[in-house]
Amino acid sequence: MAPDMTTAHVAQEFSMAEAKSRVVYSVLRITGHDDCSCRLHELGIGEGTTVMIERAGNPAIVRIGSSKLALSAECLHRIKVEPVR
Amino acid sequence: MAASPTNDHTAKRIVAAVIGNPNTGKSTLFNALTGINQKTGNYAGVTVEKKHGLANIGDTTIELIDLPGTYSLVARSVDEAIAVDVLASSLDGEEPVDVVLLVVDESSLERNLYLASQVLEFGLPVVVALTMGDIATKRGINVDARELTTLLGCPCVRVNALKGERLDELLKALAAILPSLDRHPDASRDPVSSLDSGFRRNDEMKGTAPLPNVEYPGRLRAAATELADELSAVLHAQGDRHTVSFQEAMRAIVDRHAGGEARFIKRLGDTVGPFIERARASLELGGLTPHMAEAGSRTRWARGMAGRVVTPGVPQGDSLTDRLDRVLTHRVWGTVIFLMLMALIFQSIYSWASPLMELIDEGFGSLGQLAGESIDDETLRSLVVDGVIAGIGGVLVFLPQIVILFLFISVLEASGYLARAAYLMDRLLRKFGLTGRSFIPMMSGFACAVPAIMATRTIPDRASRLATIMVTPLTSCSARLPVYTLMIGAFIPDETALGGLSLQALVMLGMYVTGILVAIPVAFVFRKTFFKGASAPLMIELPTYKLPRAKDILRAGAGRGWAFVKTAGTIIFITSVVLWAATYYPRDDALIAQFATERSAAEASGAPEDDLAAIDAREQAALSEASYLGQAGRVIQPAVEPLGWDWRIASAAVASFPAREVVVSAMGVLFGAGGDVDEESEGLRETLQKATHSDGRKLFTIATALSLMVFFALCMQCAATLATIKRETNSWRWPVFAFTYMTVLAYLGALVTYQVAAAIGLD
Repeated sequence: MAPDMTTAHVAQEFSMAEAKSRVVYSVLRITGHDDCSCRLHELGIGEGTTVMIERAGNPAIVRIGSSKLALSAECLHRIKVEPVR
Repeated sequence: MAASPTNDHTAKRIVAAVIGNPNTGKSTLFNALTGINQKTGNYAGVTVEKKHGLANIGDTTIELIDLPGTYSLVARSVDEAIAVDVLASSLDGEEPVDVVLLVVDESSLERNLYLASQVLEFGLPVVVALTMGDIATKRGINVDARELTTLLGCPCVRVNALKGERLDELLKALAAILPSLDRHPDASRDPVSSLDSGFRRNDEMKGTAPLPNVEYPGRLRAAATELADELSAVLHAQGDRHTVSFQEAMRAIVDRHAGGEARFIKRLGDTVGPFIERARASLELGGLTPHMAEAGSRTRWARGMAGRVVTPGVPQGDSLTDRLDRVLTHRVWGTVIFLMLMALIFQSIYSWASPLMELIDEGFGSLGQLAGESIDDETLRSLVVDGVIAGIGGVLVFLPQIVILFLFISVLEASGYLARAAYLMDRLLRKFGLTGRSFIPMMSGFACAVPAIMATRTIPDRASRLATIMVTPLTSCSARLPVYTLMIGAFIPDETALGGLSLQALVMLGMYVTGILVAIPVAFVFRKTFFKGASAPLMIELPTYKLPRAKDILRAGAGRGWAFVKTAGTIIFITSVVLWAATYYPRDDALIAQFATERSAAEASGAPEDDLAAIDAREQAALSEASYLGQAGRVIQPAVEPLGWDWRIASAAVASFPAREVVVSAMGVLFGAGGDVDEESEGLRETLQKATHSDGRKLFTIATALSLMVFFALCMQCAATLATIKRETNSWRWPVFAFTYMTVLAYLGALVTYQVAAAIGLD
């Protein structure tokens, strides 16, 4: 049976809080509807942005392009990512 | 709004608002454009600092207003709200903005374009300054400025503020909007409309600033279009000839929590509220969250734009910032370096400031002497010397410490380290209900609580901000130092302890630690009781490390120092005069006559100067006891006896209500050592060492000294801080609350300290 591509894609999605350090991910979506989620967009994190955890922890240091952000775990949970192939 | 004479276009003068993300080099550019032609003030009705300056190009004068750095026009903090209000020209007494100078970091173009999309939608003419080109080049990033100009529909000028490159070109681009303003001379200040100038220009300046083509979801677009039509109909029904634009309607729908809706209702009236609510409800019912949909659309637009003009850099090796961050943000090494840095800063503040403080102190002493010799009337002399000059001197003597601390904070900020410090402290502060953002105000509190409380504006959630405001005055500000210096110098033995450390230095350190150790649990209790609610999660940018420019640092230090003198100085000056009156009146003529007789007799018998001075000091002490302040001290004496104090210490504590440092000169007066004393005065130290209770027991012991120091470590004896809390919270409730809880805390702290110290034999 051919693999269900949708399921396979979703299975790859996880939050940045679970992401490994020094691995590049691509943002799939931002969850939540509050100021924190909105602020993530304003800080340049949206669908398609490539991100990398530079220093894990709470707060973690996240690299976006040539910028770095310190984000608390609460924010990381809202960023759904998949590894960049 | 009436036309302002300073904004008269015939005189070729325009007003430009400078806006941009934090860390884009916005202030550096502002400084480079305006040079020394800068002024700082406050926006009417709020304490947000307004920085503006003038730049000239040809025969045009451009007034530049440096707005607080912001990532978005959805205002979540006081600073961000001001940026929006200035752009919208909705602040009373502020000139309308003619053009926006948008500062965009070339090395992070995509992120910066998010704000650009909002600014462009405002409808004002925009000129883009591209900064950080050197960093972009280093990273191999190339931005096609010409293509960006075409896509955004506004001039994009690549500048280097540090080297002064292409600044004239930028100013020319700003000045070039002048003809378009002349075509619409009334556009920005039309009294007919109730709308703000920014959106008002949408109608009248179409073509001068093309709007960005952000692709919103179809339903959101339809809802905004429908709302714009409905609200325009409301306006027309009110006799207003303007129409509401699509962008305006969009902002009203998406800015529910950030005040956009409120701002809109304020402009158009309460009747529009239900229209906005209905539009929003219909979208939410269909599963679309307006502000998230808008944010997503802007991010996509920014990515699309960036994709067309940016050639991405090739992956580079670790930059200097990366290498520094490996150590400076390390959980252990980063924290150790942070603590060492803090210790170095405070050590430097005290050692560098001391000579300057002495100089100021001596200067005011001489001034007081000069004034004393040249004024004949006794009351006037006392008012000028003991009230006015002593009052101003008491404030200015702390200026060196405050300026030096501000210089350090400016260096930390400009170098990019301060954000790392907030990151490091976040983990600790979060345990107590605060966030890393509370760190900067609390650190500034070591210099002075007034600017520290102002620095809480960057904390977006009200509960965390109020908790930080409430505990910041517990960090040991420089005004506590005179009390500590006097008490430690007089009563703590000059011995070594703990393997060679000075006991006096240890007690001093203990006082500073007391403030922090009390502030953190107090914040925790407040967050669990009065200021409940989750803290906004930490989301801060860690900028690239930069070597700060001495000129910018000195300018920032001088500006903040002057702001302190104006804010705190005025209040302390006024209260010092009131305090003088409380220690001067009522005049007991019989007592004065009695001492006059004694002095004449002593003079007649050829008594030495020292004896005459002793008579004067006793007279001063006796008059102080009879004064209103002395009477107050007597009344509260029973309450302070368990702290080891007598009425004189109590009176001095009451007298220091306007400013803690006043306690030193007040004790000088009340103990008869004279008013012209400071914490280093041998005379005052000896007088205090010899002072006794009425029953002959020694008044000052180590226990009393510790009790007094703990009281001053925890009390809220600062009128300037109280006034600042009132202004920042817009309510008398919080200064009253802060004063009450800190006074109770200080009393209990002093009580426990005295009783424990006495029990272990330090009395």
